[in-house]
Amino acid sequence: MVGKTILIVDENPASRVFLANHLRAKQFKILEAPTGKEGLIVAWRHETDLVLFDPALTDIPDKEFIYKLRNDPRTMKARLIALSSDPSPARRETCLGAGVDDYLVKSSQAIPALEQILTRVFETETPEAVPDQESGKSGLLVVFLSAKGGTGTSSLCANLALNIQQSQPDGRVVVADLVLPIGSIGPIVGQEGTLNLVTVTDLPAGETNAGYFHKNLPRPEYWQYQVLTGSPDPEHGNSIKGERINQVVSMLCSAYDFVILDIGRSLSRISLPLIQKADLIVLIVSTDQSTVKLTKTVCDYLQTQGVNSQKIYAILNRAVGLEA
Amino acid sequence: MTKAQAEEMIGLPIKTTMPYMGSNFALANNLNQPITVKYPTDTASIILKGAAQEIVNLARRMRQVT
Repeated sequence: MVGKTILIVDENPASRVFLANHLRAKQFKILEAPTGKEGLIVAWRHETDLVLFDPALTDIPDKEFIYKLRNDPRTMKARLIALSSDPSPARRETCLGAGVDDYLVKSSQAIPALEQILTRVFETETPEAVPDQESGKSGLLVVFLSAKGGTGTSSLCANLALNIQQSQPDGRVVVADLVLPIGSIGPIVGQEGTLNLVTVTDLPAGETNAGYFHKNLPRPEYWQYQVLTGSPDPEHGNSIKGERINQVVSMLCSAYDFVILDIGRSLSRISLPLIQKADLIVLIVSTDQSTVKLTKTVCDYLQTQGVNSQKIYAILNRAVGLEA
Repeated sequence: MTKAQAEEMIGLPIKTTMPYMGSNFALANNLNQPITVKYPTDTASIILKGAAQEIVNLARRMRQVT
């Protein structure tokens, strides 16, 4: 832990100085900022390992502060800990939803809890924070599949991925949208941009390594995980280099602890090998008879392709209601 | 269809049922917000949390088995 840089952002000077002195005594390198905007500048300039901040900042909304840190390449990997005077669940949910890793309430228990987090984060951190294929590591692969459109598969995929990330705060989660010819994860999480599944498969294989994904994939506001959005339109979708998809997914598996693929109803020769090698298949079913019938057909087909039915986690999605 | 009818037809157990959310499901999507952020106390949020944990546990178990 020695030598790690912690930035303390707190408008209350007494609180800031107390924390700074306490953490300096633990051999951390401490930076301080009295306002949110100054905190952002210091964080980006020094690329700090951890930002400890009171979310009650008067010069910038807490969500915006977190969003700016999470979406800037200089600080997107920094640990964010909110140390707040506000014990309300609403504030806590807001901060965690926006992307902080931990939320502590200022109390007599806050310092021991903070020390536990620092020990967990820094002492378990390996020198090679970016795993690669040589390390042999492979994150868990979870695919989301449905037999029919309109079952809310992409939405459940995006939402369950967030909850997976929150249940595994130290794990890296990525969601990749493989629905062709148009992806829908991007519109759900509010992410647009030129980097997507099609453009990634167009890059030379050597360029799309773990470090590339960690550095370049966006982390949309609220969603906490990184996203590889799908094809933005049918024209792009039809030009995808399908033969590269398996390789891209393998690289994602070497770079993340959880790789969550939205396949939607795009069961094809491209997606079948990914379904076959998935650790878990989340199968979304809606309540209308035609979807259930088609789901049976898909399940039977998967069985003929060697997919273990124990790996199928079926969800009945009533959230979207019945189709008219 | 009931859950039991769907299970019988598919031939697989349904592990989780997401409740009907009216227009809230579409609204959260339209606002690009997670359901657990937009409706933190809704039953759907609680179910999502539980299902996420089950998915993680089952995926880990399946990895060990294969």
